[in-house]
Amino acid sequence: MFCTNCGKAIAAEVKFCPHCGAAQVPSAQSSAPTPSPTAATQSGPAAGSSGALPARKPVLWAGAVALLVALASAAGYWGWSNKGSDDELVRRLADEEQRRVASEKAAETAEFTAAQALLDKHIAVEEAQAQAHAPAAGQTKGTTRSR
Amino acid sequence: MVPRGDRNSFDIRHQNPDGSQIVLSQTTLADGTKKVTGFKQTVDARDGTTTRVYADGRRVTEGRDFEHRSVGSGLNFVSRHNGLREAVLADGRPVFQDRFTDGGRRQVIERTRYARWSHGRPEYEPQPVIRRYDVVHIHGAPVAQYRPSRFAPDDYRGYYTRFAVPLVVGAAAWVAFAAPATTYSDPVALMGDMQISSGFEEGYAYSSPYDATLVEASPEAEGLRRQMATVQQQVKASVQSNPALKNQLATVDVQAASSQVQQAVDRAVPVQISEDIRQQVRKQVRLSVAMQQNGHPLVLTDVLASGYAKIYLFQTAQPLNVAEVSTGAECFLNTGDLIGFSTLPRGDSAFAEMKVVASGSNSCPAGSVVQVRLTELQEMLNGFSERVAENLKRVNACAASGGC
Repeated sequence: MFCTNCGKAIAAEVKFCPHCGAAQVPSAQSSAPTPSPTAATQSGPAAGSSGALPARKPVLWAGAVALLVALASAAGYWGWSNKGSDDELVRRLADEEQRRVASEKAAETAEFTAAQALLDKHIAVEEAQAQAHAPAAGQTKGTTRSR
Repeated sequence: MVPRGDRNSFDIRHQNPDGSQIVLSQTTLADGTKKVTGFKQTVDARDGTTTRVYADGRRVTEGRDFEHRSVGSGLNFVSRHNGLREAVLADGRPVFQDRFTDGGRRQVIERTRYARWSHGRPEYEPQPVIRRYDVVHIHGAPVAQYRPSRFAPDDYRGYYTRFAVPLVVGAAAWVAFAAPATTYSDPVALMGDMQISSGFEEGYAYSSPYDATLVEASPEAEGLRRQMATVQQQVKASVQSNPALKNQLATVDVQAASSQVQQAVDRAVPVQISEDIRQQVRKQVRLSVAMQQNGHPLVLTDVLASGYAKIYLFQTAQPLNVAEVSTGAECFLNTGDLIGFSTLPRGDSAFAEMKVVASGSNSCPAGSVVQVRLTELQEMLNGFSERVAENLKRVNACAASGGC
């Protein structure tokens, strides 16, 4: 069947269209728009025809066949396009996971580097203060070292 | 029998007729080996104590206002909830003892150390060493915070001057550095490595029989191991006949209980120390030396607020029994074991989740995440500073004698 709102092919049992989200009212199924323009043009004159009954029968048959063909092709297209989107979804999810892992690793590395820098800075501050006291306390000349 | 849900670990609880309980915990390690720990728990309602005697002879007693842990050599550590600690040898002689002393407006703890460990046994100091600690509160719990004593400038001279002749240092059996060194020209490098190795040396020494006393050979521990083996046999038989239980559990290892004994220093498996750990400890030693020179204490709240807490390593000062976060299994952290924050503690938590970075064979395995009380982390910082001060003296002595 097709969505009453967007006209895309949807499974018969769904209550809401997975494409546009529109609610699917059971009575609306019969009035669902026919996606095939061929079927529409062919059923148009048939519906509008005021000819005798024997004359309408072939037109009705043709309309029914056209409708079946349209339904079959729509179902085929739906299946094909859905498979494509499944593959794409899997690829996209894998890409997203890869990006997430890479970004987490980068954040972790950045956090580690930042933490190291802060520790180095604290060491430098304390050592500078210690060295500043050292001469007055009689520490050996030339003992300052760069690490 | 209580499975832990991962098919790798379970507890067996066995009620004894005398009211005591035997608890066996089996865990399958990453390498497939099964580790079984077990203890007998006795609750004394009269004095409010719960005592656990472990298969390897260790004993932990938790009272209303104290915790008492004894290790392999029979050495006893007592932590009181008022912040005072002490360590006593199996024969009752004190190793160190705390007491409150007059600190003017501040509350002060004075710790008198009578003995230190050297070559696997306690050596009594000619004169007791007295250290002073400020009492601070972490989530309402009083804890001693080491107030570094300023040394004479000469004490730092050796540290700041490269050795004229590289010092030859004997290999430590209990530590395996990724890049081992036998000679040192840089005192900082020596101090860093010494900080790590002296910690593990002390940890192994605590487990080691320095005289006839060895708690794993005590009748109580031997009796417990026999009873554990019987319980394991019974459980194994019942698991075999119960498919549902069999499906929930890993294989019950009936041999594991008897193999769970502490490893002494002479049969120590060297603790693997990566270059990253080594460099990190080296930096922390540098910071500690400079802070001691400046009279600045090493404070847990400062480390937590520093921005580098996530990489900071804590060195276990005294043996602790802790719980693994993932399984709830109990394990020990021993002196020297290195841990770091797994996640930083929330402001309202008295505990931190710590990842074991390097540990001895009697301890929680490296990589496990355990819960540690914040007051114990402050004690680890105290121990780190004190060890740095001790090693500073050792390095000076080594420099004077030309070797360590």
